[in-house]
Amino acid sequence: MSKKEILYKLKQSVLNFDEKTAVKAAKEAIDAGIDPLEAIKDGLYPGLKEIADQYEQTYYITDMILASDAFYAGTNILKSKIAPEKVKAISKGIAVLGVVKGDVHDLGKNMVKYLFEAEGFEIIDLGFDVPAEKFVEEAEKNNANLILISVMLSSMFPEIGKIVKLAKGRNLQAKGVKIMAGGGPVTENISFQQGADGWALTAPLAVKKALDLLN
Amino acid sequence: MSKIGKMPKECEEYMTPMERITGLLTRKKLDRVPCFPFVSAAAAQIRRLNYGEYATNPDLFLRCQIEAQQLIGYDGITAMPDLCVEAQGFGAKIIYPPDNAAYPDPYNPIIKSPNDYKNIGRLFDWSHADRMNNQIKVIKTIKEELPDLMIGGMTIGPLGLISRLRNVNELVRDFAHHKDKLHDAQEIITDIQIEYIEKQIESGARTIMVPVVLAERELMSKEMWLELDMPYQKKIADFVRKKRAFYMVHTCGRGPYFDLLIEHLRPVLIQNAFLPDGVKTEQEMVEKYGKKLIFLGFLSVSLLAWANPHEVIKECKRELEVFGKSPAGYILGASCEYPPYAPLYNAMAIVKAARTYGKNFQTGMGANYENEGGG
Repeated sequence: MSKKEILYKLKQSVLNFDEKTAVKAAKEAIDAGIDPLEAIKDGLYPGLKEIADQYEQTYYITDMILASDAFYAGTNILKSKIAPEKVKAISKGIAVLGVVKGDVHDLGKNMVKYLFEAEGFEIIDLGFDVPAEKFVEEAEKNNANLILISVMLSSMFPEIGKIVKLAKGRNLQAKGVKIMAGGGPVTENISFQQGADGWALTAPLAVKKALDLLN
Repeated sequence: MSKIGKMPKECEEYMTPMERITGLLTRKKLDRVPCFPFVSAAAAQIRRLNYGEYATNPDLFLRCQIEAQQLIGYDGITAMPDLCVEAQGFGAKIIYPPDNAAYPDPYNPIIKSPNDYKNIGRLFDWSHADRMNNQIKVIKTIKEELPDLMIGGMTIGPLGLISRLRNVNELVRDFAHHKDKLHDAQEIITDIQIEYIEKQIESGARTIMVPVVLAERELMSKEMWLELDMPYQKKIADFVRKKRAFYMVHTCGRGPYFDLLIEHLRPVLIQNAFLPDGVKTEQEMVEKYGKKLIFLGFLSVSLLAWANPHEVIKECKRELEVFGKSPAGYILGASCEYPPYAPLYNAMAIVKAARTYGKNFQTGMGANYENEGGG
């Protein structure tokens, strides 16, 4: 099979939510001597990107999760062949991500994680029910470029402000760390009222917004 | 902050809340527009309780609900402290944080694998469904103590319940990989929820509100909703109508599929937090769907949480101008549950706005499914 065919197969495996084919095609890519990074970037990633670009039009949350499963199935095979220094060298940034304290809804947070990782960000996933202090401590410890705050309960909006305040207290925003907030009930207005630098309506748009903010 | 200027005189109320809402649903002229701020967990503020105390003590819950209504003066109560009432009946361990709504233990879901779906019926027993039994008693007591009030019952629907018994990330995968098992579980749950609805209606609930939150562009395609959720939601909707109660739908995600909800569930009223799928403006929502059903809303939770009463009244006035003439009818209210931490004076502002700008309310024609055929 040619390189072009293998890359196409990788892309299709994601579009078809087909984990088995993703694994098979990833192994074929390695056997064919294709650079594993290229196999991710030009094979698996375009499949996920196509789904993200048509999010809430042709594709929905279920599709994103299933496509991400196929993406990771292939990526895990390919990543094992990439030197960690190389992964770091092409990283687009480090983001600390979590669902705020008092909130255990992590479906949206996970979608954000999948898409940011696919885009080339290193994600420090703090999970759900995360205290404000933890977001800031982890951002400082990992020299993060971004703090990504997920909120699904309107009662927890004030947690966004708490994180922003703590980050300001440690001069993180002055050092260039950008804070973004999002999630079902979070509007742009709420996000800015709470002091965040950015907001996005959906996970795919959050990736674009983050790239804008960092550039 | 802009001011609203000198306000007109408030109306003299000559209708009870029950007369007002049934009047709206049955096309009568009203003293003022009905209002429903959907004060649920926020009622805990009345007795300065934390949410944990409020949600676990049915007597305190009841007193808070009654006192909040009497203080604020809105027209209806939907008696449900949080969305985990039914999950407790299925054996879920519910966590009651002091400062937030209850939720099922995320580290120990009841349904751990798709194979557990087949046993779901065995998990439920009325004898240990304390929270469901308590809600039924609460409805009965409110009915006895406040007979002129419109009392609403609620169920979260089969998939809503499953989302509290199973890790949601895994549930989403089940949508694709284990549909048959999911359908079997939903069949069983629907029958239990219908029994729960029946008990609520027999205790005095005149309306049943169901959050049909999967019929939204944000969550799934129309085709998937029709296949996975609609048949069971329809069974519930048909049952509510058969019992001669009013069937209402709540949605709170982006792009609710009003077309499908209307076609298949035929709610008398809909409460939505976002504009329907395919609709760009509030005016368009009124034009496209206002002849079919009554709207409830459209006050955003952020407004209720962060604005002051003047701003709330100003927004109520604006919304009355947009939705007040909607052909089927309109209830002024919150687009989702009143935020538990929001000041109650903003709920009072809604009632004040209703009395001031919604007086002599020319109600609409009621929900209209005459051309749709069937029940």
